[in-house]
Amino acid sequence: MNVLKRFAWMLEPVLIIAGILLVSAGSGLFQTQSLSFSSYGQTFLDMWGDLSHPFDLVYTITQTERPLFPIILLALWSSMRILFLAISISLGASLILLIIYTVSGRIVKNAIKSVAAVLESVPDIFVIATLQLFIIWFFKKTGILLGDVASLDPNEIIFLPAVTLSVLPTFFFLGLMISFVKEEEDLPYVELARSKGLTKYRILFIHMIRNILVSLTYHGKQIVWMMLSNLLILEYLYNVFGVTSFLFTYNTPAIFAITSILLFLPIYGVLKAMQFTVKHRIGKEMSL
Amino acid sequence: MTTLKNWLLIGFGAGFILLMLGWSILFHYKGAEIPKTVMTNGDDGFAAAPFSPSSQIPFGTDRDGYHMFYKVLDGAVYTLGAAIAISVVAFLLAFLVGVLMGFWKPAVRRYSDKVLMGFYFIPQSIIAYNVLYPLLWETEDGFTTTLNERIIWTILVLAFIMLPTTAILISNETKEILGKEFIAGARVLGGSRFFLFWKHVLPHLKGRLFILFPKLVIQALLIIAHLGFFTIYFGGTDVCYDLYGCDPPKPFIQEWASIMGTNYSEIYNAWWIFMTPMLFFSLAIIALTATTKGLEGLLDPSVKPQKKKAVSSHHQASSSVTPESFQRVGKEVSS
Repeated sequence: MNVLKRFAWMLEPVLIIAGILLVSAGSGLFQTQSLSFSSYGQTFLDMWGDLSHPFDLVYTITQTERPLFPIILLALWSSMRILFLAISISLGASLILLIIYTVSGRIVKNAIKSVAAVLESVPDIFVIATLQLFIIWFFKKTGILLGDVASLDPNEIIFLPAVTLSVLPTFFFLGLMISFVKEEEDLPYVELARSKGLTKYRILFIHMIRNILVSLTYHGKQIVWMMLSNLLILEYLYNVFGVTSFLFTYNTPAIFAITSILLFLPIYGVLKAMQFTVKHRIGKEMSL
Repeated sequence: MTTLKNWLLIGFGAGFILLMLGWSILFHYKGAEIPKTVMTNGDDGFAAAPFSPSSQIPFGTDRDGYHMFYKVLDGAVYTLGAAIAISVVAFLLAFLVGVLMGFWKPAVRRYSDKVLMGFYFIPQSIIAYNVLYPLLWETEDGFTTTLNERIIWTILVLAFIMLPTTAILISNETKEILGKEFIAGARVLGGSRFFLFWKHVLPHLKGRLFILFPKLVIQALLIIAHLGFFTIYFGGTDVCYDLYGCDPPKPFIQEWASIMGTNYSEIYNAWWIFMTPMLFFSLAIIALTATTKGLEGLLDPSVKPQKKKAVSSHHQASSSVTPESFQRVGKEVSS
């Protein structure tokens, strides 16, 4: 029993990976152009066969087979860079916007709020397309290329995709933060701080922002969910060499499973680390 | 005031969707003829399609001269109709599964939730791509399925893909309601599970479900749009295997995602061919979000009482003492 308890923390990722594996064989469902669970089962078994020797896996590109393994890590690295850079940018940008929001008067406040509400709900493809269109328009007008709109060389563009990816989370964060600030304002510690004569800004920056950031971590799963699907279409449209290539172009169930698991593990690690920190420093239990 | 604002949001949101759907159905009923302008010979001299947006042709034309607005109108019924159909199926299934899961024992739930959690880490559109590719991508021998069969299968598959996350959401809501004190009371008094569900869970769940539905439609729209970009068009992709040069893959149905997917490269040349369907697609999603926000504002019980409390305490404070003395202190504190 003791041994079992020690490994209990491993249960969660293992079960999630099991779910991912079940999904990975999904391409077998309609293999025969009609629903067939036997071909799904067959695909699932084949996938296990392939997964039993992951380092021998190959992907086919113009009829030559290449080994999957070092190259996929490079793709993963590029995708992760975009993802985490986008998260940092959106956190920074939303904090700055939050500061502007608290400093400004009611009219600006309402304006920020409604702009955020609209931008938060705009579909990701619209953001990508508009940004590309804007860059081209700007280039035609001024001759200054703000960024490459499509990559030719694999490791070329990181920043522009990251900025694009960060647009939606920025306003998502901002919307959450504004509502958290409202909640926090009524809490006793803020009232105490006010009654002691601390300034509005001191209370906001030193005391409230910490708690707000903690509250944000509760939405970790949802944010990841949103950003991953955006990342997918983003890499596809910007032609970035990332995990997307392995999910689309070189797609077999085994490669799909490996890519998804590789994508899942670092994100899961970060989420878990946040959960651990939150629990230790604040004592609040946070579920994934 | 807030109630009026919420109703306005719902009115705008639902109104836009219904207007597009209704107009599109009417357009199909009238024969669905898309106006065409191939060439003009006006004051500016000779010109040929594609025309950019102008006062005569508000949204421009595509390369064959068809007016973009009518193309969008033509596709509205498919895109919006499909998204609504998918969400209805997903919603009903998720409601059944989610409520059942909410009543499950915690031990079982711990495992089932984790397995389904995998769906949060793989984007839904890539799952859809994987499953639907063999069904919707034409093979060299053509399709063995009819268009209607493909549409029905696509709707079902997308509904099933949206099912897990939705079911988890509903089951969490159910669990939360079941954890309330009055449920314990009802249990002690001998209420059966069905009674608990019917009399206690459902009334509380109803409001939240209303909010959930437009969100599901948005999700479905986004998946269809992503699939369109990956050239898996709703209703099947017409692939040409001719040896003597071919057109790129075409959709069978001209719905919004397909128009966007086939014309993405136009963004560099005739941007309106891509941006017109994109604009209407985005408007549809904004409209649905507005509906959600309005419903949330109307149904969320936590919003109203808090406001009342704040107002009443303020009144008490101002009425009990002379206004001047308190106002000055109040101003200092709040600034």
